[in-house]
Amino acid sequence: MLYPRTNNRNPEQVITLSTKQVMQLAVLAGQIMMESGAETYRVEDTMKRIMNASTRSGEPFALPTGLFASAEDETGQVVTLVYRIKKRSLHLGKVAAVNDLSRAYVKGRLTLPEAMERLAVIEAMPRYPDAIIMAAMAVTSACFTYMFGGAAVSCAVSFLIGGALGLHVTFSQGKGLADVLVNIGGGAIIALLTLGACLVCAGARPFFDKIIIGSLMPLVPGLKFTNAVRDVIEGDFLSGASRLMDALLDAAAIAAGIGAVLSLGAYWGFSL
Amino acid sequence: MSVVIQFFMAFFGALGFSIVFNAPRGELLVCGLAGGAGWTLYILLVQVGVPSFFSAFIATAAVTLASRTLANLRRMPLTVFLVSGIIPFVPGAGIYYTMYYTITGDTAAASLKGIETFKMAGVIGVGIMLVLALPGEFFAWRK
Repeated sequence: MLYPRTNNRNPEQVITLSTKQVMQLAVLAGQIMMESGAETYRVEDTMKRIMNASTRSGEPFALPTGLFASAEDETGQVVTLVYRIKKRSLHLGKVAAVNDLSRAYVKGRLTLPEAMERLAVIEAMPRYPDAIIMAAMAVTSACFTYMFGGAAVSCAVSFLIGGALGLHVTFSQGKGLADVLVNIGGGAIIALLTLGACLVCAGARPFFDKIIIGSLMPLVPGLKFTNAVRDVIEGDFLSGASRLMDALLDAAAIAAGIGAVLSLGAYWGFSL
Repeated sequence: MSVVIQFFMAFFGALGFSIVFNAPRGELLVCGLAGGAGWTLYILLVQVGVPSFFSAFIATAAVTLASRTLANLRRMPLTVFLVSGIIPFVPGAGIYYTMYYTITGDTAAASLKGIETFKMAGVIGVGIMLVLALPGEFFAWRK
């Protein structure tokens, strides 16, 4: 039994889709969302909507580390696809785009080949240019330093440190460095530059801690933590627990990077 | 006046953060607004004399409520607004002080700050959860 699906823009044209094609679309959509930092509930929901739009009985299952989808095909055979998620790079723009696409597809405004094409475009969606990300990190660092009680001089220092941090993050993510290493390196850069700035500029010295805290804010795992909470509330406890671990690891890595440099600094006599 | 400055600082801080996470271009200002409004509410509550943890709880709950409404209004994933809204409350300071007292050998202060960090994370978590647990029909008025 094939499941006919009409094209809304052209009602005479009826396209029959194989179960496998539909599931490939669902898994590709789920893959892009999960890799870009969507919460588990949204990934499963999107996959399920796409599958239910044209397969008989399909059930997806998503974890932050992998996707599973299974459905009965035309002949009653069970088709199962498994996709292992390895790389992860946070990109909320992709999540929003796949979300729009799945709505359009389920409402019949898109055919399957069109949806596949658009998913390929979404997957290749660029990040903001490196210079803009650097500027954003610089501004974020400076603003948070002020919010936590730093004076004008310390905000200026944080602005520069944030810029350097942006350079480090864009460069190392471009090279595919693991998150832990990016965070340890980021922490070390923050501590090193803060030590340097406080030695050069006496005005920044009393705000030593504010500068470090403000500058580390662009690195804190806010998105991972939010997603962990959301997974738990949706009942995806396995995803929630693993994301919470991920967030804790990030926080520990940042602290380790800062701590290592400050300890070395204290050992060599640069204690503040 | 200082509240206005704090608002703009949180606004640009959250806006920068949403750029780092590649939020869609059209939503960046709204993301900044979520961060600015949440932080301003927190500052005002603290000034009125509400304990800081409870202020943070109310502010995160308010941010989550606003994010759910915005997500519905602008047809966007909730995460986009929620992350920028709660970022000022993420205990970056707690992470730093815990680490600082650990390496300086002040174990008592380190465990105090460590517990405060987890307390803050828990407060944010409960603030988000409380509003997310509300039934979706409250927010599904736009079909």
